[in-house]
Amino acid sequence: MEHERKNVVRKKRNCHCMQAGLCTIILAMAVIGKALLKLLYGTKNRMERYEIELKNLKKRHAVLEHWLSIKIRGEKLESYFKENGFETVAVYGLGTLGCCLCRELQGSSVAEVKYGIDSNLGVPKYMVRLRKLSEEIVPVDVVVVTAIASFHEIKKELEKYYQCPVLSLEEIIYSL
Amino acid sequence: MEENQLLIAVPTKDHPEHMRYFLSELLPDTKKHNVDICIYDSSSTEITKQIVDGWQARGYSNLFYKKLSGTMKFWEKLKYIFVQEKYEYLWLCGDGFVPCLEECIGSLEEEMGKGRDLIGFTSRSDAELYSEVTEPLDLMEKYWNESTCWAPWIVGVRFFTKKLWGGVYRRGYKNFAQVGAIFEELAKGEFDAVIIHSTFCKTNPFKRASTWIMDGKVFEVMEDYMDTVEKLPAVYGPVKWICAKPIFESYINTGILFLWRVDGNLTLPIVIKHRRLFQRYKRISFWKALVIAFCPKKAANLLCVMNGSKATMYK
Repeated sequence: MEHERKNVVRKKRNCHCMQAGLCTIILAMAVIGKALLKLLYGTKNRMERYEIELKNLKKRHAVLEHWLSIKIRGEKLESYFKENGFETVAVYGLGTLGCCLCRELQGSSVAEVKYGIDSNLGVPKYMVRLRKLSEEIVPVDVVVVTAIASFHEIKKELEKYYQCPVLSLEEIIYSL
Repeated sequence: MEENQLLIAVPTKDHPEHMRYFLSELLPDTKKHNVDICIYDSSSTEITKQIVDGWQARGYSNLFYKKLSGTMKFWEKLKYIFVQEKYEYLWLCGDGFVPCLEECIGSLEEEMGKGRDLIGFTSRSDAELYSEVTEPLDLMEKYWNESTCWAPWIVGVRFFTKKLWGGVYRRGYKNFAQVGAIFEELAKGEFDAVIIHSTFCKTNPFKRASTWIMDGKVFEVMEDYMDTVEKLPAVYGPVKWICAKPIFESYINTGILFLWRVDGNLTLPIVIKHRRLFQRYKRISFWKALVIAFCPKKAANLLCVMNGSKATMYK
């Protein structure tokens, strides 16, 4: 009798142990699964970010390639500003393209870059005075946005502050 | 190039940004080489016309503009473009690819001088550098895949008579009307074509994907494609399905179906509407497509980003 009772207790204990073990395995698998999913989504988001960056790089490459071919043909960007009567220019975004534009118009008798607009005022740009959008607006004939990837959002924002045309650098380059 | 020897015909619809890039890249070279460009615009706005006007005002007299009705059928547009007598050769280009005229003008002039019926370009790595073709079957084997796109062909316009286009319409070639027309005509007898390996065009950076993909018409176009292959003259019978396969495989495979699920090309009504396509193309079953049509978009997106199909299809 005593022996049978011990057996039942042992079986119950084994059963509990198995249940606990199973629960632990399921829990561990859920944790591992969650971590794997997180890793997967992290990788996917990173890949999507890289794809967007690659697209933007391609666009910038196309702009620079076309700009170079304009130069090879012996034409100048200032002819666009002359044709449209833009004498004073504000350049939005002082990255690679913005700096190139400032350098191109430096010393031009047709169009003068009055100032640059950039959120990052910490980086000194030797060729042009930098302003923030929150500062007092100095009127110009045209604002050229060189951050081509997010032109439409930036245009919307700039139109709140400026009455003059807001153009993308792409539009100017591909008009020549 | 002689006057009125080559026209680059560019049908476009609501793609002003594409056109701005296209013209700025191509116009200086076309003027230099005496090649004309005509824009066939079906846009709902006037922006494309304004861009063309701007270039014409700057002295590009080789640029022409024709406004087409937005409701005009695809094959009617092609008929309007092709059936004309002014030019000897016609290069039909979409606005998504810009011909690299400077790269291929030398060979174009040479081949036009020889009076070729058709000049084809290819950039396939396994293609021959220069290949003369006079047999319909040979042309299909060597050039079918490229022929389904617009940019690689330059055709002698003498092919495109009104009668031929009437036949194309009657036989029901829809989205592949120009392929149907060319292969119908070439099947009649001997012709003089050449296929040249060249970097003949570059992708417009504003192009995301083909318009029919963006419009959610992948299955409709694939069904048209299948019909086109089926309706081709009997002379192509021995090879046509072998040649047609790679295009099916690139647009209808398990990986890409998840992408079509994400961008709205694959939904339950679409799968049911185009079930005939899956019955005819046995590699993907109707049931598999049906299951994918129920797949949550988030999961489908994860799969197609991870296997790279999104990056391949959307440039």
